[in-house]
Amino acid sequence: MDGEAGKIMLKLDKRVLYLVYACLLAVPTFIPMGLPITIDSTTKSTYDIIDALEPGSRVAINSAFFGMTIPEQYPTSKNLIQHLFMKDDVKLIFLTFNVESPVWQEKIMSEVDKFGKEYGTDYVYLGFTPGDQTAIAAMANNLPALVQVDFYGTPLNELPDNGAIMEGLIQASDFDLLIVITTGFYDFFLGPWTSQHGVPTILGVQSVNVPVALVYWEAGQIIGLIKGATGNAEYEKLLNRPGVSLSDMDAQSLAHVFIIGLIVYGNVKYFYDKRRPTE
Amino acid sequence: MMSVLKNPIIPVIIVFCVGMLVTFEYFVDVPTVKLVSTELQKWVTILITFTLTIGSVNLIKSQSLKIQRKGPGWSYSIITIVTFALMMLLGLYSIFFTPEGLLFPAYNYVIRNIQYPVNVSMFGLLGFYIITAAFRAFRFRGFDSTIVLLAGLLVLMGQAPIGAAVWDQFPAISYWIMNVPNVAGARAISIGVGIGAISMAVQVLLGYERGWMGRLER
Amino acid sequence: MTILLIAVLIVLSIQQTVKGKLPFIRRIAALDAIEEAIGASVEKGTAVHYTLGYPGPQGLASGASAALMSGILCMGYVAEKTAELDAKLITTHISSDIVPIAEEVIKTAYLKAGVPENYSPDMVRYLSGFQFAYTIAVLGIMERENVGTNIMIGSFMAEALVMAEAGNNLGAMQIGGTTSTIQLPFFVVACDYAILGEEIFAASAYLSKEPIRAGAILGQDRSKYLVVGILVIGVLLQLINNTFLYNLLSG
Repeated sequence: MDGEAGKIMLKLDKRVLYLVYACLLAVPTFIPMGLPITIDSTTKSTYDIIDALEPGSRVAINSAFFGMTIPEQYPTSKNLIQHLFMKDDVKLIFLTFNVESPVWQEKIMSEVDKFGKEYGTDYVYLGFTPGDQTAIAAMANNLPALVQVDFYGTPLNELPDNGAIMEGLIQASDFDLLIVITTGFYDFFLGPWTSQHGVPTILGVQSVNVPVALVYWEAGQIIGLIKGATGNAEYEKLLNRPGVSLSDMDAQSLAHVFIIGLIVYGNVKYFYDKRRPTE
Repeated sequence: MMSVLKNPIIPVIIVFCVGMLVTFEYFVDVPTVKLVSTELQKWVTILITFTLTIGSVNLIKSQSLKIQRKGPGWSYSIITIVTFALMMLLGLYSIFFTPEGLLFPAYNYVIRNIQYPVNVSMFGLLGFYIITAAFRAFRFRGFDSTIVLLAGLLVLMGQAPIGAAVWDQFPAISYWIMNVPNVAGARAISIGVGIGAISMAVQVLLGYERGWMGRLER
Repeated sequence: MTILLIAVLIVLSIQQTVKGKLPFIRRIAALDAIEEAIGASVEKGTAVHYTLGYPGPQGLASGASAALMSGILCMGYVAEKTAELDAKLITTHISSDIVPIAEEVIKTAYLKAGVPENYSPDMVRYLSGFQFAYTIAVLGIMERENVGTNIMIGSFMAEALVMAEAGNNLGAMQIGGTTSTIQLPFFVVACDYAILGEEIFAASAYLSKEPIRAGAILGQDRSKYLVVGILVIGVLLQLINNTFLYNLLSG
């Protein structure tokens, strides 16, 4: 580390780091590495629970899409909805409490394979309900009081078979499963829906929320968890439908190796500076 | 009449009554209480929506002032006001004058092709900032920082597929770190924060704390 | 039941403190540094930026309202100091419902400091209701308006690291505090001082030295002893396969 070469190496411009990082993330797009991935118990549990759903089960799905969470939460939502559509006679009720979600929900519905499922009979989209936390809590107690029409303006009792899909769905406890795909706002559901009404709950969270979501997993408050991009890749592997998340894992591997390299470099620089503080 | 309404005790009483009702709804199974509480919670939503007007007025006022004074970056203020107006008009038009409502193609286009890429790009900045943050933070400085460094390295290796390819125990070690010490720490902080939140709620409900009125002292 | 117990403990502690003496609150370096940071800003002619962060779409009605309230109380203290030291204050907001509260708090602070004429409506700026639109705007403000002190106390999400790193790049003195376990590490790494978790609830008592707030902190500490006691007893009972406490608390 002595001499001019050492000085040049140790003075590293942040912008160079960012450029190298960006290039590293782009490489797997052109040269896939195809590293094998291991399936985490949280993802496996989620898959098994959905796979074990019995005919006639009614599942509430809340996807809260915020602009910057799309890259992780869109694949989560799509994978879970795809798996649910693969099940026989499982009724899906889509809820949303944030204003951006309808646009993305429509996009997902246009991309998934519905296996012949019919809107109004097998699935219904209740659309955007304003009010966030208060609306979520209120809906847990009395869903019909908050929502009388679906997203397209059809009164719920005018859906096929006199709105049979919504029959008997008054409180959260009338659902067989709740899936919440959100970033950081899962507390809004865990209180009223999971704790108060006892609905079995699966969370789909961003990678950054995993440390906190694991608290609920370890306590048994949630029965399934999709851990961001890694969880998405694992789920795609379980579903045997490779998508963008699986291919992203190579980029994630390179990114992690780069950061580890930087940490090692940072410590080398730290000790070098301690040995030779000023020149 | 106005002097009565200006009495600071009135909002405190309203907060107490409404707060206690909504709190009791969680503990009792009385249909009337639940009905009133649900209705009140709907009102909150409406009130919050109206506060958007206050924010919007504040935004327009401050940006206009900047344009007037030609303050630093005043040209961006023009862009702010113009895009604000355009988006507002587009949204209102979509909701009131189109059968598709929020799915109106032009509105959809702006959300998917302008707002979303900009948001995601800014979120992507986090990935770059984490590099520099990790570079500064993870050091062999002492016992505590060494523990943080080792835990960070092990979790980084365990979370990506390359870790399992290098050594098949990395995922298991990472799993243990995330599910045992991490959860313990997160729980401890959550319990403390939860107690703090109860404390703040008690103070607000009983009128001890009036910061929400803009009054820092009683 | 536990919530009721905690509430009762807090009320009793407040009553006890109001009638008796103030409990000891240990030194919180981050809060002591606020005045130092503002003073440094005045010397260098830079601005002081304060943000409450992003609590979610419901603002003060969200689950993060407790952290927001503490942030508002700290904002009042910061406003008093900037008024006393004649520093330029910029507070930025993402929640529209907090804007009138912020205006009132800062106006009152300047009035209390004896310089109401120095208050300017420009001190309270609503930037956007969207998280990253707000963050970009804050970055722009920090760059253009020469922010030398960046204080972030409240409820934060992903924007925490972006704002903290941006402040770091500018060489600003930074004090960060949040209750979010996810964002805390970012503040610890990127800020000069960090207020960890429930310390922000102690902040208002620490700064104002008011008996009621100090009593609430005492009540919180007693509640923590209660919770730890329940945990220890619960673990011991579980070890001997006794589920009495578990059943009692499960309801």
